[in-house]
Amino acid sequence: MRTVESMAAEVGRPEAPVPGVRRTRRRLNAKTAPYVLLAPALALLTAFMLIPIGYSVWLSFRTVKVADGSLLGRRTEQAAGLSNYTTVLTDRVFWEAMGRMVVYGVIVVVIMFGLALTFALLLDHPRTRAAGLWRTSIFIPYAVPGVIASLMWGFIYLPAVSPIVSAFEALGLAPPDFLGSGTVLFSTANIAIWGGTGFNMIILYTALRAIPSEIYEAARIDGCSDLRIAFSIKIPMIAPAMVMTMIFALIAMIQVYNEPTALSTLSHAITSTWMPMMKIYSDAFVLNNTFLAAAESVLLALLTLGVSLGVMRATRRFQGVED
Amino acid sequence: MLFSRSTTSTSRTASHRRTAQLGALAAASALMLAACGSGDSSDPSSSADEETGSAADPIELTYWTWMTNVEDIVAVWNSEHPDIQVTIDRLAEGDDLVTRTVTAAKAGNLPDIVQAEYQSLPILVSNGIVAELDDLAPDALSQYSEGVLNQVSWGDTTYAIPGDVGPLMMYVRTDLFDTYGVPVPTTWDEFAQAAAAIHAADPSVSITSFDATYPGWFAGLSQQAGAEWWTAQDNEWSVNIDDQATEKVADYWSGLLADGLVSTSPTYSAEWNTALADGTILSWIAPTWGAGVIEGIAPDTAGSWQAVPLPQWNAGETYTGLWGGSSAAIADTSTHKEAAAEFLTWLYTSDEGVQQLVDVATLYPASIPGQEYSATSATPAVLGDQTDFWQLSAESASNARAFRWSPNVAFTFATMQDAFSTAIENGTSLTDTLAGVQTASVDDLVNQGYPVAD
Repeated sequence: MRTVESMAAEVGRPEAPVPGVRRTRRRLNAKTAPYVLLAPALALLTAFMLIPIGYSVWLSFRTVKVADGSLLGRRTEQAAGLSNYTTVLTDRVFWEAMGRMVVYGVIVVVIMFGLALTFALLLDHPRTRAAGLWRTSIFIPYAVPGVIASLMWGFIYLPAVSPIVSAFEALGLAPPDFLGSGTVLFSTANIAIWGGTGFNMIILYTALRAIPSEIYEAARIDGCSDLRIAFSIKIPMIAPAMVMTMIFALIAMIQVYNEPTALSTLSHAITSTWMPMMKIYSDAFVLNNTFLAAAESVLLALLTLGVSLGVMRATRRFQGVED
Repeated sequence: MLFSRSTTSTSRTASHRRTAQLGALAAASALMLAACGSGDSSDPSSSADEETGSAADPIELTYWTWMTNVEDIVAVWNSEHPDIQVTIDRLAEGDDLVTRTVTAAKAGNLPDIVQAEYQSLPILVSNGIVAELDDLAPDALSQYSEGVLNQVSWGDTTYAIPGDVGPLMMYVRTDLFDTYGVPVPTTWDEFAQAAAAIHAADPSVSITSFDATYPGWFAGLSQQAGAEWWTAQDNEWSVNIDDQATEKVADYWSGLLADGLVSTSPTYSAEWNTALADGTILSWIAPTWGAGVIEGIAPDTAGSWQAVPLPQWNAGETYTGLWGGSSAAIADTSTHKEAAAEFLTWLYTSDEGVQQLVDVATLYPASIPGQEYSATSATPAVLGDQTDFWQLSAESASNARAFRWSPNVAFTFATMQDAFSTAIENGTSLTDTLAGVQTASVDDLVNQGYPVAD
């Protein structure tokens, strides 16, 4: 067997050919290979991500105007400067939708995270029985498509067919109004929580399983209770997974669309501009104002990016990691 | 026709399923929602440039429509006209189809013929999508009354061939009105009294439902009262959505809503369908095509319904308004405009075409020959032994008041829908929202660059 030193010596001597290896070809590959290998991904990224994003940004600075000032004058596309952005930023309807989205997001993120973390810790506890069964049961709602889930919950909320309302009436109590203006935000959040808890739970649970068991043993020897282990070892050690799921949840919150849209046919409290994404859809595809919708999309995308980076930075500082 | 639009909101569900992607990815998808139009339009039919086809090498026309059973109707044409073959594409309905069409125009793949509701035509005209028809289809256009043609012409130019009209009538569960001992109302005063009497007899039953989700329906009721939301004079638009007639209608329904006398289930919702079928909603204000809707959602109630004239503001009057109804326009980019005009002339004005329109698609035709044919047609089964249904349709159509549609109807309707929904939810007056809708609609017209009178 050759030693490492002798191999290094050989490599350092280009004149001595090694059988079966063509040096010149290999050196060329080393330079071009990364680009060749990246090319398909870069091409797809450009075609389906960068160009559409660029096009959207461009559209957000355009508008249509009636050129000749006649009753049914031809609409022509023209530059709009920042007018689409000023329209959005001064639009009360847009800010109302944003406000609603934030309240919705706080409800969803807090409750969903509380539940997901609790379930993950309970499932990870060695004395939990039938953990596999529980895990699957909690996860199953995630496998139900959002639209189907919303329709299903819609029927549970709808007074005429709701089993909950029937139960209240059978007991002689006043049934809750799930679709009223005061409650429908919670009813919508409930669907998202129901669907998302299982997914977050699985990620946190997987992270928990990756913690080496020696740490628990050491903690027990030091006299740690189960609760103490959960708070002082488990939660800090799965913090990276929690940050990741938190970012997922915040992004899903900003893009909330399916649940309220499916419920909107059942409730007068949900208007066509109830959430920012619904307003974007309505502007683009009901009112044919792609330009305004593009400006709204750009703002929402910037918000998404800002929130994601903000969460990452905040948690990094929280964990004492320097930038 | 508006009625099959109930599926619209569920089909809007874009692919924003719990987004398990990181920041940049998600940001991009938000952008792409705006950037992507409809990418799945069909092939343009213009394969050949010659204007005459033959059985061996036929002209192929693409027709975007949502008409009931239109496949059967087109099959009749295709078998008789081997030289002009029509292909149906059910891309979307109503307003959704307008959006698709505007997008297709940008992408350069318009069909030859597109169906459009009357209020959508101004959008197609102002985007330069549709061809002028006066010289293209003079035979067809000579078969309409002036009132009908007003819905498709601006100035001296006609942009579409009218297909069907939707004069508002009232469908009534006569059996249940008898059970409650309430006479079928002929005026709006009687209607309010009947609503109260029915509510007193059984609080879970409503005389009808107020539709906040279809401002076109409210527009029809306002037309009956004499409203003119848009008028065009001296090359300027005049907008009057908060005029006296509209306020009268809004006040009237606000009163019924405040007393809890009418249901607020949105038309075509699951709740509304159930209520219509199980007799907890006793009447529906709808045009001729409404009979087909009732037949579809409440087949067990067949024979218990009757169509009566829309209640009147003053006894002895016979006014009504319009809801729905549509026309067909020919794309300006089509290379087969004459063949397209020939097909539409057959469909909407020939004896054979109107027969299909009435019997197969259950529409009330807009053309004079079509209306003459419908008078001899059989009453829809849902109306039992009523014999004067088509006669009533004809009278309602000739008594319908209408106004011109502006180029921003979609915006105005969306604003009104949200305003009415919120008012109903909060229990406030519909009338109070009209001024806001008026202002928003005027601002939008001005912003787009249209001339608006002060």
